[in-house]
Amino acid sequence: MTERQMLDPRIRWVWITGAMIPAAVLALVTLGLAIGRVPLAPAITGAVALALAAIGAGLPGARWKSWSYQLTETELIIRFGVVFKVERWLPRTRIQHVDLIGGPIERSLGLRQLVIYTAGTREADVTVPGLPETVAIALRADLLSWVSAIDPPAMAAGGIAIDPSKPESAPAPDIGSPSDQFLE
Amino acid sequence: MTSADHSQGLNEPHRLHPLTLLLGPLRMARAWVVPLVIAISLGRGDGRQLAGAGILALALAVTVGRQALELVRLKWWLADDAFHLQSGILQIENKAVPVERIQNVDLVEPWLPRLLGLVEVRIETAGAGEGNLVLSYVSRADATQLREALARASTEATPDRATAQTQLVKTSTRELFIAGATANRAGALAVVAGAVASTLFEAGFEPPDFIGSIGSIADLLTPASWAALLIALLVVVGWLTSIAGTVLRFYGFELTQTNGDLRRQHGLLSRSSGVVPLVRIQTARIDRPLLRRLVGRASVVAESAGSVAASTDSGTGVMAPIMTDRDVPLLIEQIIGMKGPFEEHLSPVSPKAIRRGFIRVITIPAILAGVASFFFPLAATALLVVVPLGYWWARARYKSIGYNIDDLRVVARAGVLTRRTWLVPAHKIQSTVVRSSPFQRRLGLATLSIDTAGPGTSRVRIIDLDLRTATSHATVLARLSSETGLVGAGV
Repeated sequence: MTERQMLDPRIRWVWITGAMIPAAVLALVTLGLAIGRVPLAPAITGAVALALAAIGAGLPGARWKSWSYQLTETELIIRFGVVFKVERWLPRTRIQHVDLIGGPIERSLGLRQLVIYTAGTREADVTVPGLPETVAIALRADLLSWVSAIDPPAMAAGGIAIDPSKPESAPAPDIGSPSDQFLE
Repeated sequence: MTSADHSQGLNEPHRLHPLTLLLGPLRMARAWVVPLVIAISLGRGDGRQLAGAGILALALAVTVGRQALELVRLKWWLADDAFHLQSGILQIENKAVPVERIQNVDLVEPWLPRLLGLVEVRIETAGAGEGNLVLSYVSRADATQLREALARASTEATPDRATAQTQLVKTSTRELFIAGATANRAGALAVVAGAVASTLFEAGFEPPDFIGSIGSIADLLTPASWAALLIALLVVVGWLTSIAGTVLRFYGFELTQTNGDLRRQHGLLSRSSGVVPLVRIQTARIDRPLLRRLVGRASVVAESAGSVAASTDSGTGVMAPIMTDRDVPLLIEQIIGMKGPFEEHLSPVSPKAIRRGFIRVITIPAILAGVASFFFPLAATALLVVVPLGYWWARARYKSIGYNIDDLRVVARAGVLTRRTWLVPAHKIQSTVVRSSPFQRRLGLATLSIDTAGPGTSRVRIIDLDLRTATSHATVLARLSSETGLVGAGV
């Protein structure tokens, strides 16, 4: 997998829903204020709610377009950001562990986020949202596959530890079946 | 060989030193003195006053009692190549940290415990969240024994440990005076002092009479010269404080290398000594505040994995409070194995950085002057000063930024007043990031950040590189890190 991959377009719905919640709460407040005949306040909260809703509806499209990830032989590259653009290179051998997370809205759409941890401190974790469950699980297996390619004697010596004789796509660690990931 | 072999006696559960029972509550009581006094002095009616003080006293008693109970319950020991800590009053918590996970062990002796022969032991682990394990206080003998046992256990692969001990840094008191005198802190204090002085004079502060009676010269002084005098006095006081602080903190600074460990001790009143395994060190940094640069000196700081304390005032991470420029490369080579020279032939970033720096620094003053000139037409003339000053600053900033990236290392320098040079071995890199703000993108610029397993208190980054250059460096560095790195080995 060396080409740039986009996120699943359905992630936009997750983002839109997330952004609409505060707008909806504010709309309710506006309603309450209007019923209570408070002067001026409903206009302000209403305007803010509208602005939030407009941004919430408009931004996810651009955000989705800005997002991509690319897995090369040596690293995972992710790119995102609408205003501030960020491009991150995560060397495969630096990955400590990988979490698979799914919120309720994501789960209902069959999406997952992959959280990738390095030993770095300032930017130790990277989240790739909006992956279809099967893609997320495959990506996780792929990211962790280097672990099984480690040559134990070299590891003990503290030297370079990737054994080139073992294929890159070595047997992935047991990740369980997709369905039992989220039983808890 | 296991840690248990070296630590006869340490594998029995130990409690904290009994005198801690006295010191712990004392320390807490000190924190409570102010609220107690305030409560007593604020309370108007007798009854309420008493009640307030009573409640506070009760709260204090409960906290002190709880703490005392915690101190009594705490137990520590070494067993099965792990450091164990048992704590808790009702809910007992057992922590076991494998010795190879221990990043470094610091012994801290604040002056009062020091008089009583007590030491605080800080054990740093690699975990980012859990932080340090602190034993305050244990007897000096126990502390030293524990530290030796832990240090031996984590470097037990070295057979001839008794042989090699090299002194890397020993700082004389005279040098520490220079360090204090050239710290930027003095400059910062001068600014604060100036602000205080000017407010005092605006508030109609009159110099005390007795000074006036000293001589007729004093009578000739105008309020403005009094202000200048007071500012000068405060600056001098600030400066002396900075010198005294540095000397107290780093008195007798000594850094030695024993096999794979760095040992460091310093401090006049509060004595501090620590051990950092060399392999844990992620980055080194050379700091040169303006004044220090002028006298040809620098300080050297190292960041080690998991060392949360590197940012704090305890001085963890300082490898040399001050040393001559000439001695710096050798120390750097000894602590992270990078050969100097480091700061020669650094590449500049994009010259467009000047434009961005200028726009950044000038925008707010320009807006303020524009608004102010509506009310005071003369305000616009301030721009005559601000614009050249802004341009000068932008140029100085551009000139201060320099970098050098090759297969083995990253050197990144920045800072107009305090010039900092980061040194990162390529195999310590955890990930690379290229960021660009809208303003940077407009000029085709970006910032390259380099993440290591260090605490990241001072991020290694190269600001305003050409976007394409930044991207290619990020790619190459990530690839290098991927090839050289094995998770954990570099940490």
